[in-house]
Amino acid sequence: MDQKELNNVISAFKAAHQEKEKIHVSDNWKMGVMNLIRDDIKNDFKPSFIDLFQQFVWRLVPITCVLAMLLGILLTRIDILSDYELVKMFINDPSDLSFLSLYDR
Amino acid sequence: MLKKSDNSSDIVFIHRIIKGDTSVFECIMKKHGELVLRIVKKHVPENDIEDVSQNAFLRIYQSLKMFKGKGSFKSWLSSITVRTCYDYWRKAYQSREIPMNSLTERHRKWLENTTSDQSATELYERGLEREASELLEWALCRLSAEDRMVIELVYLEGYSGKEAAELLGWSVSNVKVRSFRLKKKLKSILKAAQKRV
Repeated sequence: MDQKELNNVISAFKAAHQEKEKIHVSDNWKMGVMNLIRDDIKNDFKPSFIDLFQQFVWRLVPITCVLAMLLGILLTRIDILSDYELVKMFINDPSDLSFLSLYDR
Repeated sequence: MLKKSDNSSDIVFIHRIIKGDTSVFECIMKKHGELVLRIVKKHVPENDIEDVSQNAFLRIYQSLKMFKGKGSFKSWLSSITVRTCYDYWRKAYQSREIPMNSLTERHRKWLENTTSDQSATELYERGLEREASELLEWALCRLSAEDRMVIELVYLEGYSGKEAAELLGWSVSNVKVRSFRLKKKLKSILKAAQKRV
């Protein structure tokens, strides 16, 4: 097949391609477009999982703050530090030694 | 091929749609529906014309905010439609849903007659347009989605390399190199068609 023959085929193909314009399509597809657009708008307003999660997390912030404050107050009220020192003393100083020292006196 | 047109009314429509008046999009559809449909008819099989036209308009709607009004709205619209058609073929090739028709003795005869010194109009007068479109579809199905778009835009619709590149959103060199190679490819496909039958 030489160049001229190929050009003949391409020009015939061109005419066949132009014929595609004559295909009849009903106007129903236009209605479908507006429905698709309405669905698209609805989807835009639908919150995603991350949006919902963020909303939920921000709502928990005041509760978390109140809990943190209560815990702080509780820690100051209960004398945790002295209990801790007492335990530490027993661990560092084995009980038998303490008893022995008591008998020595 | 791509003509510049008056965008003023389109820009008014676009502003109203962006502000939330979606119903105005129907005006854009009325004004440019035929253009979109004409493009889709040329690139997509008959059964899928409606679906692809709908998808093209949905993409146009979703991209309206990106239209800056610098170029022609019609060119912008055409570009989105052509890219929607390209995406259609890309998906079809990926899922291997390409209708592969087989050739018959009629097609071989048509090819024989066409390669001889007869003009396309002469063949049409003889009622051989069906063979032409079937053979064209057969040949196009043997090309990639990219090559199909280039051959349709450049060789069958007469767009320049630059115009086809603008429509497809590709570089001009990409389209030009492809269109140069495509002539050879098409030649070998048609040779195979002559032998196959």
